[in-house]
Amino acid sequence: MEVLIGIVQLLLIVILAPGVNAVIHKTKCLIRGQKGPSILQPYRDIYKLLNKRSVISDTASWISRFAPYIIFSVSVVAAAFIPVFSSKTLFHFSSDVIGFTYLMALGTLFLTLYGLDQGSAFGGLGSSREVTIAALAEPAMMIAIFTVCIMNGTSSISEIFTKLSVHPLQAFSVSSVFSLLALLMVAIAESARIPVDNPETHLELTMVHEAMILEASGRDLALIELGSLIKQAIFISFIASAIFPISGLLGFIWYLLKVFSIAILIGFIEISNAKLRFFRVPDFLAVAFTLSVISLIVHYLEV
Amino acid sequence: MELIVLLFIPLLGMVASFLPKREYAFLVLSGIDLGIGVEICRKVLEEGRIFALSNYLFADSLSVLLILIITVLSFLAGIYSIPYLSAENVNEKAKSKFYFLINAFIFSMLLTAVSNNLGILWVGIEATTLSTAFLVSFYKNPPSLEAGWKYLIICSVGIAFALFGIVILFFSVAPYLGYEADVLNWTNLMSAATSNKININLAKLAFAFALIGFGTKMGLAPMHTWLPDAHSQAPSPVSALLSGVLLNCAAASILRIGNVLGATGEKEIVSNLLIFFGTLSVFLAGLFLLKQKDYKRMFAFSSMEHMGLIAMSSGFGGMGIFAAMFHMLNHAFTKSLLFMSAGNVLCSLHTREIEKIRGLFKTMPITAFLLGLGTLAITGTPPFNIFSSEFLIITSGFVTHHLWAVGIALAGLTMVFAGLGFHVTKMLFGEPSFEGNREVSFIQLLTPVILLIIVLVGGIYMCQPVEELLNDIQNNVLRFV
Amino acid sequence: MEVKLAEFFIALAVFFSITIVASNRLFLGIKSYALQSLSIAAATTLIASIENISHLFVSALLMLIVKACIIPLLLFYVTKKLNIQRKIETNVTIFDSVIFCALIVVFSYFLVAKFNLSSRVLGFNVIPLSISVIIIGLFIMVTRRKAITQILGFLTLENGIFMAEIASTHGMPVFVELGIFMDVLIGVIIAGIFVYRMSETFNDIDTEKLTSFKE
Repeated sequence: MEVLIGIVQLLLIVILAPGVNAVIHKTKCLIRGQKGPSILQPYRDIYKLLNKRSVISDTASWISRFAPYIIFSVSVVAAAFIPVFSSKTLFHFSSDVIGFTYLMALGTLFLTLYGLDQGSAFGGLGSSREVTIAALAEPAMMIAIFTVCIMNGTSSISEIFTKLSVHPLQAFSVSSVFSLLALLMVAIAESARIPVDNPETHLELTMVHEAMILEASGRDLALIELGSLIKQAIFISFIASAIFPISGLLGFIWYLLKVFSIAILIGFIEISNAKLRFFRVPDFLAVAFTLSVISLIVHYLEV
Repeated sequence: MELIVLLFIPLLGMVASFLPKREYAFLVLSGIDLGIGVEICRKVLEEGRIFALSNYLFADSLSVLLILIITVLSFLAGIYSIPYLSAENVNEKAKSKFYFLINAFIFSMLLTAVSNNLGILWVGIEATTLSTAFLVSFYKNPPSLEAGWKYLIICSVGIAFALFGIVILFFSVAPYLGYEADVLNWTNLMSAATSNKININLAKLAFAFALIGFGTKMGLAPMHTWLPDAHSQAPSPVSALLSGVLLNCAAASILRIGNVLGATGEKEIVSNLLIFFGTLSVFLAGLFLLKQKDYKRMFAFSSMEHMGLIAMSSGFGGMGIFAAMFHMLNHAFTKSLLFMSAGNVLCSLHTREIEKIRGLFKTMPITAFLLGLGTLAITGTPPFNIFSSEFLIITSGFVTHHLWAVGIALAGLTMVFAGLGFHVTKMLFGEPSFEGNREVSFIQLLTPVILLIIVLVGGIYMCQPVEELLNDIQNNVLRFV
Repeated sequence: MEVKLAEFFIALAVFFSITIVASNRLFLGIKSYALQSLSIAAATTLIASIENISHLFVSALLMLIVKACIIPLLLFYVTKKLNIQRKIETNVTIFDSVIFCALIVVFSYFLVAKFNLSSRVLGFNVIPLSISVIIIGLFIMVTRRKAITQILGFLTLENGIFMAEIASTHGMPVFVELGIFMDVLIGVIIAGIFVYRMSETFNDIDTEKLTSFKE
């Protein structure tokens, strides 16, 4: 039974991932006054790509062959850590945040290696930018996540979820507001969204994520894209689970509500901000870092 | 009733500044205001404190002292402005602006003087900044714009800190007295402090913020940076009012808050902080004064020195309060005398630089005479009034065993004497650097002459009502400082 | 519940003060200021309804009208009208100043712990957070060079004081509050006129160029 709940939760995040992205895109289109593609469009794209053969450059090594699978599977394993409506995730016995964050980092590592391995100019450029962003986002993310752990006295994601869902109101504190804001900013940076990266363009001067996967095609592209989408969904789910979580069936609906409202919020942020110059990205992440440090301070010094 | 009329007249003056004969309207109105001020003084001396507007306005002897300084000086500034503005060829539109703002300035200063409520006092002090910002940059040339901007920004931040101090003070008494507006009345704050219905820690913090905030406005070092610029760039009648009156209003606010804290038994911290900032200001003003090149700026630094003396002397407590208040009165008149005679020089010779002016006794004999005697007076030479108050300050310092503070202040005073004496003698004597007789008109000389007479008489003879006022301030109003 | 929500808005106000520090364009800074005022207005409304104090509703409304609408629009107008270079010039890099904000927060917590200030209505956090907004405002004034950014810093500082007021004493008495709002509004208008005149005289509003009074 527990395994079944775990599998359902995992599948939910994986299935939801392209949908969340579609909602963000749809929100932006609606605000701009466009009709926008259907919510199902990303699913169709991925289905189409999965049925296509992939082409790999001659200079590529084994990394290029394996990287898409690793990226995808790492994302799926990380998704198995995240509770949606029950603390019984697939890995609830060892759902440690440190393991979780390093799984995410492993995905990023292989993505950058993939970019470098193809031997194209854009790939290397994208990889170097991605590593810079990841290195700057890491401290902010770690401190914010650790603060959440310290607040709840455990480093297990499932236990945090349990504690939060028992007393959702008491668990709220000023400190958690700051850490959630920090996590939201890190999520935006890590999932390559405006103002850090623009997922909709292939402008060589600015692109980060798209540059790395420029050479990918067919099934490889589908796996990498799906992996990134899952990663984004994981971040959003993590934030959603930290805001007044409820377990049970009601919790499921509440979860969907939270995820889609966060997606709409991100849509608003994207539409009202311009993409930052790359040299401004450190400033953006410095804000996230400062917020996470503030949340730590506030947690320790409040009486 | 008198208090409301007192405040109403400058408001009337703001309207009157749009009339064609605005100079004379201002003169008449400020004359009436002076009369009301004297009447309030008489009433307070006879009956003690008077209240108005359901206790939000009041007048005790400290307010009366301020009211007298404000009304007398604004009347004299009114007389002086008429020839000054026409000599400067100010057009009608600018004149109208000038009188509008100066009335607003006088209104806000009177408001701070008579408000019983700390909140209203804050609004009044902030209003003085806003109304004088354009007066400082009246001539719209680059240096005056810079001085005005600096004045606006530095004073606004300072006053914001004072507001924070007031919030904390409110917070320190509110749990005992409630959250009503009249908790911030001086009378209620004093009774709360004496009956220990106050959080002393918070009150200390509040005093520290208020000292920084109002100290900025008062020109205490190291928050004085706006003062020399603003005083030197403003038109001379405004400089006289800024230096003679505005600084005193800020000083009175600090002392009143210090009095509240002192009443809780924490006299030590109040007097130590006041003595520290006061002595520092006197000493630094002396240092800066030595190397000034602009004579109005030089007098501005002298204002800073005297404010330091007032703060220091208030820190001594007891007789020091008497001395400080007496000094406040004396400094107001003497410094106005100096700024107005300096204004005459500027009006006629159009330069602010000390180096360019030589032999004033030959080109402008009467102004030179006024400037020379004024300088002697401001440096504390007998028989002028500043001598007697400075003597009292030094004596009270020795009596209360603050030898270090007095020593440093005396060093500062010596530097001030040397600096002012050196620069002014250079200006007065020697080969004239300007041709012919450049003396200004009789009416422009009238006001400084009146002030000189006041200064001289004040040094020899202290009239009964003033002595009563000062005694009352020492023994009742500020007895806890 | 309302208390928590009020605290949430206070935290948002701190967040927006950091975004003012982080903004490199004037428009972004002014927008952040407007949002900050908006969240403070929301917090004020909540506190007013918790404690049932009618004059706080007035303050909240004034906050909304004056500080969230009129003042930002005024600043936008001045920036547009003068055709000021929209870039914010700083003495300290934006990265460093954002990190410095974290230190400011630590400092204000220690200050508050030392003097044992605590909020009556809201949790312990609100007063130290408002003090940090005050200090951040001061920091903006010191490190940013454009005259408009200095106004922005002053306004942030003023917002911090307002937060401290509502948290400690339910705001100042109503007529004092009115006076404060009026003073701030007139102050911004006067400062705006100054900026205008300075840009005409100096062809720039970089305050580094104001150097005629160096001692």
